[in-house]
Amino acid sequence: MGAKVALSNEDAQLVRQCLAGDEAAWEEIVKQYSRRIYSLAYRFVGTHEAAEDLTQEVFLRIYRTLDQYDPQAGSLSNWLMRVARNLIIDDWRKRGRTPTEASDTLEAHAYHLKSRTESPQRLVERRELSEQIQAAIDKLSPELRTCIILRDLEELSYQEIVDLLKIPEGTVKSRINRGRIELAKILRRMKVI
Amino acid sequence: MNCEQFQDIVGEYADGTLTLPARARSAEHLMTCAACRRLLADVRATMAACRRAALVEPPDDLVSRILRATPAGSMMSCAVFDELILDYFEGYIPAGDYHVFEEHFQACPRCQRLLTSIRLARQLCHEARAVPVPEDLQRRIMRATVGIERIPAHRKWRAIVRRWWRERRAKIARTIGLIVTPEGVTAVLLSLATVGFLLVEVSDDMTLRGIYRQARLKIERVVAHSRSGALEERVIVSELRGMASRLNGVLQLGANLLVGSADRSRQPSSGALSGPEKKRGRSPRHRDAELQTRRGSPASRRAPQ
Repeated sequence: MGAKVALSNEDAQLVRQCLAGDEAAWEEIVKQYSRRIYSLAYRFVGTHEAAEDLTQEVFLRIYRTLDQYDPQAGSLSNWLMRVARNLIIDDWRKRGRTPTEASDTLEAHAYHLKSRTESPQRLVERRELSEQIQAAIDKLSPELRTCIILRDLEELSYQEIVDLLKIPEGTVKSRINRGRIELAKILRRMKVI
Repeated sequence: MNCEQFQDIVGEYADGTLTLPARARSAEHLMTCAACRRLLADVRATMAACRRAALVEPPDDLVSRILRATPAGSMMSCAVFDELILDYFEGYIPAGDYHVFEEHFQACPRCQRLLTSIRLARQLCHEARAVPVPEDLQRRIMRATVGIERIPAHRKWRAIVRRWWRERRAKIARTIGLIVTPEGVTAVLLSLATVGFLLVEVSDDMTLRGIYRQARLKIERVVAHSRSGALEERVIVSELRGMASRLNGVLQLGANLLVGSADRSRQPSSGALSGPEKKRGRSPRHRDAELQTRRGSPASRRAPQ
């Protein structure tokens, strides 16, 4: 409880500094959350360029609405990610739930990975896995994809997904279930699992 | 439980969110079904892979790109900008903060409007500082300090008349109020009649100066007579008596008019009287006074009818 209050105070202080025009405080927030937000955006839009644009858009929205953050209502992390998820999902819905424009094929991903063999082994492996997962997720239907991203990549609870997507819990569970089975089949075909 | 039923809940089974009975039935099915065990293993492997690959490495320049797109001035809230406005007009904003303040101003139409309005308001306040000074303020200050008034003559007289009027206005109004009654009007008429009589009877040229001149002549004659005993005392005395009797007549007429008008003015206001008193008209005491007046004083007997 005490640690929570301290964290909340820390968040409030950081936001206050940002609102006073402190560039260092804002940079701290950007560095801390850009990777998470970028990853989420990338899972939805499927290309690095679009994910980068969307991430920037999310941060523009965040700093314009930063004065609306209430430390009493929860941590800065939760607030930021909620804003980001809402914006990314809205953007994805506006695009007509079309899968990624590039919709890179497995071969393209493989080529992309081969071109990065100079990186350390672990990084390469993770990147490889990441790209494969993305390729598999892109093959899911939009409804299943959303639920899988939110549940298995973002690790939201069923209730959080219900609140975010505004659909019944039964539907959420069913989509997650079907999505996992579909994704497992795809990954098996891709020899990832 | 069959394979189809298990496939419907495999996700929840992997999440561990199933109820205990459902979990038990699923476990029982898994013991007998190799295909569903493989499915469960694949689902779990998928979930693990997703978790491992959750974070994507962003491009190296993402942070700097975001920071370029979000200048500190735009990030400054309007509330903080408002707090700095006072310091801005006083010229106290430190250079670093001023840079942010200016950036916010350039980026925010709301704060542009606010600052422009404040600047305009300050300018108007500055222009409105010259308040009109009361005319006699300088004179009052001079009088209160050195006791000297250096003001043009026409202003001086105007001020004197004004002050006189201000001081006596209420009294004059009261006097006019007293005069404009039946008694007051009668008294004024009586005074005018007296003056008129003196003009006709005494003055030799129908002027007030003539009254004074003739009165002085007569007095001089009396004085001269008393000194020399040469003039006819009887002539002067008879002249004076004649004048006195005529004046007395005029005054008696005025007095009668005065009494009559006073009675008339009292009559309507006697509403509080009882019936019999109204019928009798005047009270006995009043009638006695009137009778006495008519039988009257020696003057009334002497007055010409």
